[in-house]
Amino acid sequence: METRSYDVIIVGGSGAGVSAAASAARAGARVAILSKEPVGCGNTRIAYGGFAAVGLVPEDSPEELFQDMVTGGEGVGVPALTRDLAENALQGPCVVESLGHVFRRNSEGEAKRPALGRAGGHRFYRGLSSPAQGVSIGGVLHNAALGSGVDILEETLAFRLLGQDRVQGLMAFSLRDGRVIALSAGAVVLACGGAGWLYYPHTDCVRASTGDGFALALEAGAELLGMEFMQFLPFSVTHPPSYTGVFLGEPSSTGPQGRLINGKGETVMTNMDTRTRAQVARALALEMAAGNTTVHGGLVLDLSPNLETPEGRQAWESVKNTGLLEQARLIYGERAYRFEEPWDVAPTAHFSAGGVRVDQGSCTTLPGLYAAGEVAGGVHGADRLGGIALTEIFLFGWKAGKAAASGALGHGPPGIDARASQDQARMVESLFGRNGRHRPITLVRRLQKLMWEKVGVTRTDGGLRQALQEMDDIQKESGDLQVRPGRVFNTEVAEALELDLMLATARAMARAALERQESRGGHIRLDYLERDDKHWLKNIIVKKEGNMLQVRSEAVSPKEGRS
Amino acid sequence: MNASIKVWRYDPENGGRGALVSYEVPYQEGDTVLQALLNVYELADSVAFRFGCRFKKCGLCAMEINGRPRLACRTPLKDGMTVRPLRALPAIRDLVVDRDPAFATLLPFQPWPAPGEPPESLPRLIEPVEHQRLMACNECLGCLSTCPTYHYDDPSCGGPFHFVKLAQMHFHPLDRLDRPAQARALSIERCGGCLKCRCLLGIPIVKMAITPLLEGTRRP
Repeated sequence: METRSYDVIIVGGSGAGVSAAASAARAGARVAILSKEPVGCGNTRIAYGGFAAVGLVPEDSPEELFQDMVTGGEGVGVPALTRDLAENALQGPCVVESLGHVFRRNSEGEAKRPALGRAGGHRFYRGLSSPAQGVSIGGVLHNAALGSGVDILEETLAFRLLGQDRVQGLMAFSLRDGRVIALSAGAVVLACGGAGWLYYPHTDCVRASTGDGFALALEAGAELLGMEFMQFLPFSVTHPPSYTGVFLGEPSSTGPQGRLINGKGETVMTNMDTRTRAQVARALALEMAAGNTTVHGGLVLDLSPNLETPEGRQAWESVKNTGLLEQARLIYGERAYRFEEPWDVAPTAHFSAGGVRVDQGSCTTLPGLYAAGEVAGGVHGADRLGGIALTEIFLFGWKAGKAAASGALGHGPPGIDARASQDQARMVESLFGRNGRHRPITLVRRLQKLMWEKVGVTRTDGGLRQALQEMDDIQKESGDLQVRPGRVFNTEVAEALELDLMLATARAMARAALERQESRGGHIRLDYLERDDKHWLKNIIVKKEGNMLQVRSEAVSPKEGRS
Repeated sequence: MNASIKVWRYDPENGGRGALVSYEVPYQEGDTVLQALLNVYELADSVAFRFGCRFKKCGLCAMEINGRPRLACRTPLKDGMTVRPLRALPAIRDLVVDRDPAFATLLPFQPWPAPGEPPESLPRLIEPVEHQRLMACNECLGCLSTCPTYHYDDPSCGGPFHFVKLAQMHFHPLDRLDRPAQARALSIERCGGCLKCRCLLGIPIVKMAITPLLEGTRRP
């Protein structure tokens, strides 16, 4: 088995991962990036590309952004993390420009109005943007990583952290040639994004978003926080199947006269442009739970009344200019693009608001393990504002890289536990050519369907318990896999390893969702429809003890994070 | 309803030169070639291909469809289509090609900004319209398969992808390296008058990348 040694290993090769790698390398660490997809091809690239920053309009301040985030997060963010982001928000865009990106400027060349947008939930103009959206950011990441002098291991899956009490490295599988590699490191940074793909096809995330980081952290003994909070965007494509889940737009892009209509023809919501993602997604979710859907399983978004008023026509013009209507045009057609024809829409899994518990230094609860970006939890609470994830991942990615470098360099290179790593390598070897009954992809698809139906936009006690039971069944069946032999690009071995990680993450999400007996943000319980501040201004923590998941709740400390 | 699709199968561990294999897949109106490949994978056979976002942004599903490089996620499925890997890059397995040589060619030319600490605030700068357009490149590498001269094992010869990446730097408002000279080191002179390269996303490669680099057009 191949072994390698680094100061810092970054798991994830998109926005958070590359910024962490670049900063760790600048701090003098020997760094490797492990990325399941080619570097730069993660969710950062396919994002709409807005970055919220503070201080670009005079009336704004960090305190105002903090307040907007607390409101949007419905009071259950970790205040210290929220405040850290609010106070340093401008650093996120500065990091990505230092890696080679360029944001839109006004005619004076300044990052000020009118070059700024205002995404949902923000009271001020904070949104930096780019003409080619996230694609232009993805396009600098690969070269930025190369230019930082870090080793890049692409199409390589981290499937297990190594070390007792302190993380000392990890085990990885190379899709390219079927190798198992043991990597030792003074510090490991998880920067591998969220779990949107657990809901395929009802997601606008990339295929790599299987929630690996949550599972790696959990299995190693770190705490997860807020795993019940999956953000579903309200508007995505319902058909054809090729494009189910593809992002169609934001509440803020529906214009002043947009109407949401259920399958019975009743108007369910108006004035969506002033509402949060969670409020609008909730309206859709409740109609879907009641069975009031179209034949495609969604609702009808009728934007045509906008065409009858000057401000509505103006709204269409400005939404069109942001490029947000391209998907509608290419999938639903020219008339849909012009707001003349209504859209069939359903919610889509977009962002894991919860994740690995971290402190302000990006440290998880496990020594040697750091986390940044979507994989980290607590910054956003129950739901996040528009256009702030990219700010978060570049800001905290950069900070985590620095922190990990200093942690690793002070600690010296660890050895690798030969027995543990060889056990893991043998486990992988045993997958090649296994001749059981279930193809990994079949079980993966079953899990995804289960997550959408029972741990999706609406949840119930009974449904969540059934989901946990069925996850156990899938786990059992995963002991009887049918996997092709062959070392080169064996996607079935990768899927078998991913399935284990997906199951661990799915369980943590279902257990946290079962625990929170109220509805808040992206978490909607049909059996507890109201938000209950008396009992649930709390964070739910999931941790593995032995072979059991322990779930507990901790009160949010409102004092924490005050400057 | 069903549709048939012929997929190039190649397995370096099983010898042979590869062959087209025909599959019948369920067909619904609006299906893409990517959806057909996912159906093949789930219902029939472990064919290897890359994909990521299903909507033309990640750039991973570029392949040759009926002889032309296209994104599988943006190509409507038609009965009897043939899919093969991008011919410009070395094959790994089935529809998967090795992307590394395309990036390795650029390595000596530092297609990145000088490493440093991030600034404290966003500097005043004007982004040329060429830069805005060129940054829409999703690195799918499909353009390399439209170039008549590019070959991955000749590092002295770049292809359209490389000239787009160098032109991105050329038009970057803070870049100071001589990108036209680098393009000449990648034999851009051979491009004069060819005009065969095409971007799958419609970036005008000749107008915005090759011509400015060939002519050494001054930066704005």
